Amino acid sequence: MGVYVVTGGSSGIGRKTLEILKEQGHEVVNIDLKSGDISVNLADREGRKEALRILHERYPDGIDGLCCHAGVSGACGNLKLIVSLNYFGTTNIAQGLFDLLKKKKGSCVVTSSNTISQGAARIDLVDMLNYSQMKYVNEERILSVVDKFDASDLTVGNSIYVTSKYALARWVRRVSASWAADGVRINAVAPGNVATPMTSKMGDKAKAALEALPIPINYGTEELMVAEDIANVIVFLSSPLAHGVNGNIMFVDGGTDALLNSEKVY
Amino acid sequence: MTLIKQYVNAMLAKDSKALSDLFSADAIFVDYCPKDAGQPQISAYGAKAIDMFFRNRFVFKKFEIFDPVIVSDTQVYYYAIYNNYHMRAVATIQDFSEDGDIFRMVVRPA
Repeated sequence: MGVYVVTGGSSGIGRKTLEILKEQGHEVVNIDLKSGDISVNLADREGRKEALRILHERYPDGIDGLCCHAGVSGACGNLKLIVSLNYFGTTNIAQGLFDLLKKKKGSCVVTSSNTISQGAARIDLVDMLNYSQMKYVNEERILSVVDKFDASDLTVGNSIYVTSKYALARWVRRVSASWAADGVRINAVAPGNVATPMTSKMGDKAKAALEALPIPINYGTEELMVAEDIANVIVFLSSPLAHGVNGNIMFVDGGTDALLNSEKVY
Repeated sequence: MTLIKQYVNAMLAKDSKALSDLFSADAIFVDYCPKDAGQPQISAYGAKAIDMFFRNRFVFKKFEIFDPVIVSDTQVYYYAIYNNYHMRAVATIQDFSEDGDIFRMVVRPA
């Protein structure tokens, strides 16, 4: 059995992923702000550093898998948090654990979103994020740009959320070839609307918007996807059964993307 | 009331269910107009898919029509707004199902 690291494993998709991995007999470490085995704030650079330090100390021989779920929705009201947690909280942890993944030829799965195909991403910001390792386009500067936007506008929050997830998906595509050449696979899942603690707290407007993103497998009901639908695919992608899958953005949305973009086959 | 009139009424009312009820279960709906605006063409296959697709478009205010002019039992001209891009369009029922529902509808720039 292997060692898996899960971020955001205290609730929602992350929690279900953690449960399934444990049921399969793996050792699973949960990094989460609340109730984590390693309780740090992944939106914060110091928190990420601390998590990486602990994991390197605890697993010097490597880890088998990394599943990154920690994130917030576009309705959280904090644009900087959306970017710092969703994008940097994932890419920094994945890059920081690459050496441990390489030791065991492990795999990484990150959580994107099926909203990336719906045209709301700000490509200017996506570009900034994907080039954020350059000297003059770093996290701090990008956050200062994001801070200028109107956080009280829900559509802005959604746009920044989609941007963070789009940038994540493109980052996965970009690093996937070189990582795979070193024995580490990396993929992303793009979930549809999932019933989570986050969605249960949404207001009426946000709920109406959710329901207008139809889920074909649930046609005729107002039901959302369940976390297990997504977690099962994440566990599959992180397992040796998915050895042939790398650099893939897998839509796990009950068919929403195919409905809205039926002509797009690649 | 003709199918084309019911189609117009459903579109004006932004009623995706009423719209989809006009189509057969295996219907084909294609709208090429968005391509002129640099957007993907609209394609939906089957009445239920048409319901879900237009529900999404109507709720998110990504599509509406106005000023329709019905010119025959199978054709209507109207102005349409695709994600804030206005276009003159012509919608044509090209084929019917055995039950008399719309089997194939095509919308093109007019």
